[in-house]
Amino acid sequence: MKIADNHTLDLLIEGCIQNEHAAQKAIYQLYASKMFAVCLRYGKTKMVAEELLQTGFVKVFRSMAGYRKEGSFEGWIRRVMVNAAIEYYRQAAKIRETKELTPDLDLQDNYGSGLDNLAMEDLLALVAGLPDGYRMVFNMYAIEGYSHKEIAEKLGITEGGSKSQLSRARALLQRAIYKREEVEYARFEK
Amino acid sequence: MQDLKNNAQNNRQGGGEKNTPHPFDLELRRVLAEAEIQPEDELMDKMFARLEKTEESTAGKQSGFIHAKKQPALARVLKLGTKWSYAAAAVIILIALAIGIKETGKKNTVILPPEGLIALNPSGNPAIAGQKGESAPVSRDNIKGVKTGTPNAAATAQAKLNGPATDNEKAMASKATTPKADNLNRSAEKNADLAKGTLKNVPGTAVATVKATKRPANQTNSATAAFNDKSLTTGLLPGKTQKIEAEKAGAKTEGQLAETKKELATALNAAVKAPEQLTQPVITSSIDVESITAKDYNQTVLSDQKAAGHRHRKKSGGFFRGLVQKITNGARSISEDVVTQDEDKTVINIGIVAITAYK
Repeated sequence: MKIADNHTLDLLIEGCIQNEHAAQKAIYQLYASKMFAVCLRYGKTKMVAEELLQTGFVKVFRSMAGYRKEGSFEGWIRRVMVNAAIEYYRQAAKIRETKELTPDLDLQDNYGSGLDNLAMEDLLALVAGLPDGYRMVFNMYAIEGYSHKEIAEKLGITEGGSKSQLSRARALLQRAIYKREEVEYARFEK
Repeated sequence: MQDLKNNAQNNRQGGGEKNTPHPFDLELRRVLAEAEIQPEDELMDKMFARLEKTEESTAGKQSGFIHAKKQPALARVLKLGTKWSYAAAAVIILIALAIGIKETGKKNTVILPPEGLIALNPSGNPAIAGQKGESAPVSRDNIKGVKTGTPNAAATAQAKLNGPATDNEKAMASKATTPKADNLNRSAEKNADLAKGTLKNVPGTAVATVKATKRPANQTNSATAAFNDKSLTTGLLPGKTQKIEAEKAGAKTEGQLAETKKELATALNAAVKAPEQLTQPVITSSIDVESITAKDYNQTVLSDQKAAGHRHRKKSGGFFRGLVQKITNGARSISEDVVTQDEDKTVINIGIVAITAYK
């Protein structure tokens, strides 16, 4: 990825505020691949991820004047993307409230370290394979770092629901990774 | 580098499990930190197209808002104009309705047969009192009832005026007073017009009577001609016998002719009497007959012609033309009929209400 220095980035941001097409194109090309990875985590399918990317960048360019340069520009764009994903999710689907975590599903100690063996696309596919509510909560909590309170507010669920969904999502993901490793191992054995 | 949010926040707020980031989460975050997947190039074009579209729609909304804000006075004026137009339309409709009621209250053309008039007036009283005060037996209440009431009220008033009458007569009276569905309001004046309208038929009746009188004469002439025509008999029997028979036949024919003459004379007498019978209802309502002037007759005829012409125009013309004609006729009739003065009283007609002031 080409890393633009601060001066260049400021010029590009100013250009975007002035509605300059070249500046907007440069910003898009700088951050599109990273943001597409984020969108792939939130979208169930690639098509949804593309939709989220488009919507997110439109919002970025329209609200560029609201960027106060307090944090990193990439972090700001990411947050805009995540908010777009949350909005899409709230419109498209309802989060299923799940019952409180049951002990047999708590597999936190059984996770394997097989993540390194997985390709990025495979890992993203596994995340995308989670149910909508699980995937949202897991992404927001485990990757983005939101608290359960924030997740509950943003998704319109209870904190307990957020916690239970996180645990279930984690357990499902760990089990999926474990199975994947087994398949890969069996293939290697042959 | 991905700028991931620090998960330490979870620990601070107690949102994390056991207040420490889960090892799996940490591992996953580490792996995903470097994640970069290049989207398709077409996606950029799509995104910019959508961006332009949203900018245009936003600009359109803003310009529309400015336009709406810049012309509030015009909008108010338009609103006011709309309100005034509604009020004007309502007033026009009310006027048209009033005129329509007035017009429908008028009788256009009603021709009663003489028998009907006889039935209406067995005692020789006028059918309904006119506004000229000739008919003493009719009280004011009756007139008002007739003017303002329904056809039933009119029929009742008439029945009262006619005194004791048979059921058939009553039925005929009610039929006579409600000859048309649209003539809801019968006024005394209109009923007086009825008698006038009947009078119009008198000259025609007289002509018919004269014709009936002439007809027997023609028959007599033809019978005589038939008798004089010898060719009918001479060609049948030759010689004397023929002559005798011819004389006999002539005598027979003469007898027949005499009978025919008698019959014709009877018919002639009957025909001569017929005009008396036909004019009887008119004579019985002699007070009305005397009061009818040439002006009244002309007015009645004119109103009939107007009504007929109006109906014709209504068929050929459009709704607005008919409406305009209706308004014109209504205004004319109002101007003509609004005040009727007499020696004893003054009658002012306002719509379907008549105010009578006695001197």
